[in-house]
Amino acid sequence: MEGVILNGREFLIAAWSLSLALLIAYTAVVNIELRRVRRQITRSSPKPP
Amino acid sequence: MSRKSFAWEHALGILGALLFCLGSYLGLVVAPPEKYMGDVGRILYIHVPTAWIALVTFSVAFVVAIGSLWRRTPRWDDVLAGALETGTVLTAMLLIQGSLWAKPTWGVYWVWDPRLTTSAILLVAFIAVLALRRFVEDPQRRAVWSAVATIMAYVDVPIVYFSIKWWRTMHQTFSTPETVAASMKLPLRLNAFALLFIAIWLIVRRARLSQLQRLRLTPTSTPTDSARPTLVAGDRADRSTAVGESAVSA
Repeated sequence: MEGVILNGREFLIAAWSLSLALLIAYTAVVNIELRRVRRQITRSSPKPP
Repeated sequence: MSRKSFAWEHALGILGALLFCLGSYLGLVVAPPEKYMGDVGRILYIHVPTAWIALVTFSVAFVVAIGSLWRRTPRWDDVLAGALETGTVLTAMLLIQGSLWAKPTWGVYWVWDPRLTTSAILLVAFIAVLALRRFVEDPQRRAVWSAVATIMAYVDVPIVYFSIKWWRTMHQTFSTPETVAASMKLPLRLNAFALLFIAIWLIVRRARLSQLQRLRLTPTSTPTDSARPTLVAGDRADRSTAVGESAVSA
């Protein structure tokens, strides 16, 4: 059990960081894509005379 | 999209992020280490809320899939896309956290335990639903097929939840206020609400993305925030507008 406690922190940090990385990566992809599509639609829209 | 709904959506995301920071601080710094596992036991404060919210998100997907089949309008499918992807990301997080917790406590990253196996099946099933969505190009057919596939994949959710009750398992029992120490409750609750708010924010953002992608494919549409989907034909277009307003307040 001592070994478990000694090695615990690395696994703790790895679990939190990987989870956050995955969550942030997905958030970034969705938001960047949303902005890109919005820009495309704005560009292709007919301009007022 | 109106200014009001825009503010509401981001306010929820910001609130989720703040709660997550606070819950993480309490879980990682303030709460005492777990009696038997030491510091590694602090994975609990992210692992358990992730599990709760992943199952809640798939439950939302299940309800939206039924709604999508019933109403046959594209905006239900937009929300379904958001719930499916968010639930899948949360389940992937869950399995990563679980494996990293298993190594120092059980000695291995993975065992074919009922809870772990059913959770892995859940991830694979919903990845398959997402893959199916990519393969079907016709929007109406994609909506029907992915709704049916979601309902089929959802069968695994109650199995995951009750697996620790139905079978002999290495996994710990349900984490409820009765089974955790008083000092663990607050960080657990804060992170659960944080992930819930973040999940709602992600579902809404992803639904908006689907809506705009559909709009992009229809050159007759105007790029206003309150734009209506025009891919649907006949009287369904009117229904989509009415339902869409309640499904995603755009």
